[in-house]
Amino acid sequence: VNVIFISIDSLSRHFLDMYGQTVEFDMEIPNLRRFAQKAATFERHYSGSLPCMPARREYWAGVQEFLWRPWGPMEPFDTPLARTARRAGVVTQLVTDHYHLFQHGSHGYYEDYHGFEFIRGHEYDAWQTAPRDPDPVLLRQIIENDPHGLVFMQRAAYARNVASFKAEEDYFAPKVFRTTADWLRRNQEHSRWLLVVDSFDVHEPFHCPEPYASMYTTEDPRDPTLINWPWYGRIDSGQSKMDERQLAFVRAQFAGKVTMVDRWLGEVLDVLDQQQLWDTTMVIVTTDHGHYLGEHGWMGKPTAPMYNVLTHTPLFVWYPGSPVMGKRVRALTSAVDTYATMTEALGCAPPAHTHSRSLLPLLRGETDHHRDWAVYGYWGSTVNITDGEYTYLQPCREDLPVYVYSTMMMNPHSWFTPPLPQKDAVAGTFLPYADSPVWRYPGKSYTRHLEPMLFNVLDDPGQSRDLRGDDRTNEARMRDLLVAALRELEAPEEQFARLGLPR
Amino acid sequence: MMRFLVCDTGYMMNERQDTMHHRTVAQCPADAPADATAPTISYCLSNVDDATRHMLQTYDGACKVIEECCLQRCGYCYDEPFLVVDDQLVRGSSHAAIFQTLAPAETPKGSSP
Repeated sequence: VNVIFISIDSLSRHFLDMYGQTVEFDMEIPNLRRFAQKAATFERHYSGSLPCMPARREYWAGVQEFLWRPWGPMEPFDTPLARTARRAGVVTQLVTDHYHLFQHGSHGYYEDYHGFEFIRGHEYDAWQTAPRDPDPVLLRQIIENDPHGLVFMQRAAYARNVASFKAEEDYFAPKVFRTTADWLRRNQEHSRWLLVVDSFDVHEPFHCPEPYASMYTTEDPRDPTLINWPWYGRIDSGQSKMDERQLAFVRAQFAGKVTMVDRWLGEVLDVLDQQQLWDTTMVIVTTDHGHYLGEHGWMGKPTAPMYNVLTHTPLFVWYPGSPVMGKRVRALTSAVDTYATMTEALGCAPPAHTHSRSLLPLLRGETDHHRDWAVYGYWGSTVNITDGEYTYLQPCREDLPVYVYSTMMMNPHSWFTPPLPQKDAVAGTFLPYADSPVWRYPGKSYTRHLEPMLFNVLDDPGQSRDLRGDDRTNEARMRDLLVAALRELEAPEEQFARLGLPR
Repeated sequence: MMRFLVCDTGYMMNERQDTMHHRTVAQCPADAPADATAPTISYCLSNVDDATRHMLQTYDGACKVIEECCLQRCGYCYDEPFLVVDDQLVRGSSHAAIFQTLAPAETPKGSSP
């Protein structure tokens, strides 16, 4: 079959009523709902490596990288999906406004496609330099206090990028999905194709046009005292501190953006209907991670415990002829599994030495079990695991080393700025999934909590009750499962030490 | 104290649950009354060397000091030392020098301007 892969960035699962919506809004998402009714809805799908670019290496190279390296490029020993598809005679296209693919530190994600469309201007995209003094209301709402500053990554870039926007069609999700629909209309002479759509929306800034800006709030969306690009962190202290009114506005703007994405995703679904492509096309809709919007007292993707708000993600798959279409799939799955799924669906030989496991046996109805565990995290920080019923969050020591393993010298934590030389680097064949030598160099270890955390996410999906100390049986079982997973992955030796786990 | 909507599944928790897990590296004991006038000082992991990080982690004055793996000030972070004091970015020749301008009597031990 042909394949459409759609990633809608930061699409928090609990805003979707297909999963038992738990937010305060009556969400208008008719197109996501319509697709979910048609496709398989995966109930226990989890992120792996976070945030944005690590997730893309999982999607498109099948590598669960966070135990070995942070945000960075495709590696020379990776087998990118588009390259594999090209070799198999498949025409490949990328449509994206995800500017991180074109930034310092993360090359190799678009070069293998036969064609790519890059919609410019989202978030910090270094695109427009005029007007020098963009909309002062927007500057306040995105918290830009130094609009004439010339350092990397200034928020004024966003205000300049959208300064010419007049209508809804000028915004990012409309452009991404309209371009996608147009590509589908114009490319049906190709018999085999792969279309990858990486929508940066719903990612912040949560700046959207009407009617979405007013859809879930009675506030004036142009009130300069209300922000739509909050800082990451606690909402009760520091730069991310906000009051109830402010938090309600941010959540309403996020919800509005979800509805805007849904509206334009509908154009893509309409083309699939009009062109009668459903019988020959696999369609995957998912996200890389969620986004804290006050849940557990946090905003954004900060140095917080990795609750399910961030890591338990939506996944919907349409696969022609599958007996599980329109049904719920309760097997545990991981973001990295989309890679082998697409590879197999396209008829390509699955590359060796990846961490990806194809979902096709589930989709063919051959099994109802997929994996015993899914691990997830950020490089250099805590390591987390789920069996689909429990989540176990393991803190790390900050006084023990953690290493980056890569052919590149990258900034372990400052991902977007020019890479700095790693003068302590040594070379060696360190990776269990590649026979190429790589650099190894140290980075800083940081934890997100001081004690392990355990939740039963079936009984307590909001993770309001930490069972550590109260459910010692499952605490020990999940800890043992984490050890077994790290051993199976052949995680670096220092990971066991810094996590306080036996090797 | 801020209160949030509480939904059926508990997604919108009150903030106290997480306070004990917050990666605050140096602050008053959790049950001690906080000094409402003392600033919250945040630093970025990429912007400190090991000695400065240790200095900030072991600070035991009135200010609340928070470590973040990224404070979303990447351009400034790339260029020079900075701290975020409440919501204000403050730049300087060193973290100790910045700290000294904020709270001269409370400059962390082992620091040098």
